[in-house]
Amino acid sequence: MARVAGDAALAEVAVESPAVRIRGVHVVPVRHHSPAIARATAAVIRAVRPRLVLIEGPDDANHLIDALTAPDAVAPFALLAYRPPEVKQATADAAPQVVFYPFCDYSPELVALRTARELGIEARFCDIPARASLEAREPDEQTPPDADDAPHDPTADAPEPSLYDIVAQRLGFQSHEEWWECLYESCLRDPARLLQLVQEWGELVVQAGGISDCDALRNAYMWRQVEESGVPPERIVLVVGAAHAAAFAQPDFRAEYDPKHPLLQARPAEFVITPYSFPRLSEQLGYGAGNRAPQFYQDAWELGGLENATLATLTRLVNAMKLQGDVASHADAIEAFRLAKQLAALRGKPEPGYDETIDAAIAAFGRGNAERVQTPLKRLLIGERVGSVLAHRHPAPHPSRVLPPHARTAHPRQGRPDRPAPEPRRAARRATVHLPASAAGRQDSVRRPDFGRGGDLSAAGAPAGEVAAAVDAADRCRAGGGDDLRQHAARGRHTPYRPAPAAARLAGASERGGAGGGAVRAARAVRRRAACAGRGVRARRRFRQPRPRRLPTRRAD
Amino acid sequence: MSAVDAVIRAPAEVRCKDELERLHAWDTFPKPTGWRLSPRAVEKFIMGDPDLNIRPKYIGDRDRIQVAIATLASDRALLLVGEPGTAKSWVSEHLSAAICGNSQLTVQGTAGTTEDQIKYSWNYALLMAEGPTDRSLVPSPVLTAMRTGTIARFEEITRCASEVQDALISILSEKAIAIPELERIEYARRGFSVIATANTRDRGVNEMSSALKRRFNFVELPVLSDLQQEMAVVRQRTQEMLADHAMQADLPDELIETLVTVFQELRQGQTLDGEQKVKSPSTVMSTAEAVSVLFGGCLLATHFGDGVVNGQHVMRLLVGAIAKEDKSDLEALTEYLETVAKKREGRVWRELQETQRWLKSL
Repeated sequence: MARVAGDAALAEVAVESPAVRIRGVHVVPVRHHSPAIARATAAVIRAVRPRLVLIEGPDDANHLIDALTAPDAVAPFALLAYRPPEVKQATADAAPQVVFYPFCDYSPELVALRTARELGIEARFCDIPARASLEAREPDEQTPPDADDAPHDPTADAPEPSLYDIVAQRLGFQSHEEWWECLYESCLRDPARLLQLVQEWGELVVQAGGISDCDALRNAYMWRQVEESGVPPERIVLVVGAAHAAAFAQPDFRAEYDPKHPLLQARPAEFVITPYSFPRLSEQLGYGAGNRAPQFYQDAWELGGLENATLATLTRLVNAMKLQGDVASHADAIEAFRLAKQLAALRGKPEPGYDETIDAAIAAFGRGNAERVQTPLKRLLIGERVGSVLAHRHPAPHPSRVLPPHARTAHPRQGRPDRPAPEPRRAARRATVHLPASAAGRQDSVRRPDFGRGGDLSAAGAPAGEVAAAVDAADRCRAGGGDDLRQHAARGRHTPYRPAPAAARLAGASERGGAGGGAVRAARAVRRRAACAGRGVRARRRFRQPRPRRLPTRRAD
Repeated sequence: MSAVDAVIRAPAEVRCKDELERLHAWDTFPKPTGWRLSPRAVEKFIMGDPDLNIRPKYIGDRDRIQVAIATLASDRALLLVGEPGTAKSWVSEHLSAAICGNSQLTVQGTAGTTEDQIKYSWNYALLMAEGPTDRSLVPSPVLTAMRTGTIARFEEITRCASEVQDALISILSEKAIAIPELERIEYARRGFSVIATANTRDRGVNEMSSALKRRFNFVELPVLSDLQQEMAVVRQRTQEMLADHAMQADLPDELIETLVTVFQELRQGQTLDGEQKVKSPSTVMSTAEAVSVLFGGCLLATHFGDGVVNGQHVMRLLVGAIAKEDKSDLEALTEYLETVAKKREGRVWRELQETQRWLKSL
């Protein structure tokens, strides 16, 4: 809802395409996983209404685009390309070569695919095939091939400061991530300026770092696809990393490459679409892009800005702190939000973001002690979301192939071989690990209409009345919640929007100390489900604290 | 400045008058109601700014100071917590000096603090003569701050009885004090806020009622663990103290480095490289203590030595600083000299070494 409204507003602003025009083509220079750029990408496609959308991504995975954009594919998920080791190297411990292309709801690439699908526009990947990327990497190297992309930190592991850090420090920011957030993510209302800034940044990166051989091949390969598409350039939208866009803009750039390049002769790769998780996404800082806090930026994407994400996170923190056994109230959330806004003003930022959220939470909730808020806050910022994809949507991998370990555990149908394949919608929900609303303070009920219905709460064993009440409350919240939030923000009032009453209810149940409270049951159910998805240990640890302590029973002897 | 000459320690707004004036002239940013400077200028005042020739008042984490300033611009009060000697009162004084030009509305929390000192009391002679009137009312610093829309400071709040602390609750949430004797409620003007300090050593903030805790944003001022940062603090503060006392002394880098190293290693219970365990004394080895040791050393050298402060001067003060509470703390120091200092090279380390015999005779 929020998303649609936000996009409509953007479309009105962007009467002309905000894209950067390079040789006639509408180029959208992106940083992966950026809500602001994702929004701008959608705005460009809506404004241009192109005939073809080309997206940086392995072009041997084009047959999977339908599956990636299917309505029941719930992000985050990843396109995973893999190859079993070559026969001559195949020893017992030889791992298959694997490369992930993760997507979340605010990945510009995925937004481009989805928007194109919605408008009935043809969309294709145009980067070198995944097999070439696999070939280009050392077998044991862990970074994805896009690690060569901009903007990210090319020397993440190197001790000397990178260009990214130097720029950030010189401008008075603590980290490159903070700088990015302040300068780019806050440009929500002016996509043309945003894309221009990103383009300039890409040019700086190319100037400073040059273009590697592999990148030169990729650039030429991508532009050749533009040229050979048979579509006039002004009818094409090209969504590529900022450094690639910068390379295209260089006056001496030519789309020339050797079609017999050894990388392009590599053995073919297999693909699978696999659920991905926010914790995994947050581990890939080097992969570059505003995903140090996937859930926080998910909120920014869904609620239309960093300020609303800050408000949502701080509001959820109330329940999270209570579950941890701390005293917290909405008064704390109100003060924390005010403080975050004050801090942003003091730091010369247009709106509060990740750093302000943390600082404000420490001062208002943590009594100055970072450790007290660390666990719940980290959970709220990084999030626990696991995507889901439907097994039957994409071709099953060949049984003779070695399945990479990730695919094996995370694949929804692989987890429960003994069960018959569930009917599709239910399966999607099963594979998605829902935290109980109380634990993660999930306000998903605000915008995810089917939370609480169907499988989740009833499966958790909550009494029917409680479920009905929770669902009812969620409905009420859905009707008013999102809009309230925006209105409050617009009016500058600091009333936090209501947290999902379902969440409050569950939390209340656990506080009342009923050993069979809804939260406990929900937690148990989630543990069960999490265990199925191979995340049992983590889930168990997570719920150790909130579990109410049983009173010692005195033995009458 | 005659005030500085006349008094031992002038308040921050007097000492830093020039800096505050420079900042005021520079400041074009919006100011919260009742503030003399914008939050950004206040930050510059605390953290220093070479361009405007503002000395840093606090050396350490800028983010925490920003949180403190932003808190004061909101409706919550600020509680600075931390170990003894981590510049809590110092920051509190300078914050109020910069924000409202007055750092003197201070309540010193002690076991003997009563509610009167937080709210108001009476001039009993006048009370007997006139009954309760405005003239006979003696406002507390907090009430004065409320009337003038300025900042009240509450030092060592956790030292008072928690019933007394709770007198602040209604002040902080309703921003008003009822004076039933005058049939009146005094409302705070905008700009009023409270900066309290509490140290985590003596009586923790856990003894505060949660109702009161909820009315504060907490900012913890950490013990400095960075050698260079702590050296900078020790040097700057000692120089300031020397200037206050119209004294001159050379403070060699080597001496400061050695002194701060000793403090950090004893505090952390291990050597800086993490190779060797060190016995930690029970005393708080605060930065403020290091400053006073060095300044004391300077005094010794000036009045009883040749004017050049050395390791032996410092050591004589160090003993007093460490062995405050427990004789066994002295053993920690002896052991440190025998095991760690012995291996170190340099003039000052050698001078520390040479005091061993004297130390044993204590």
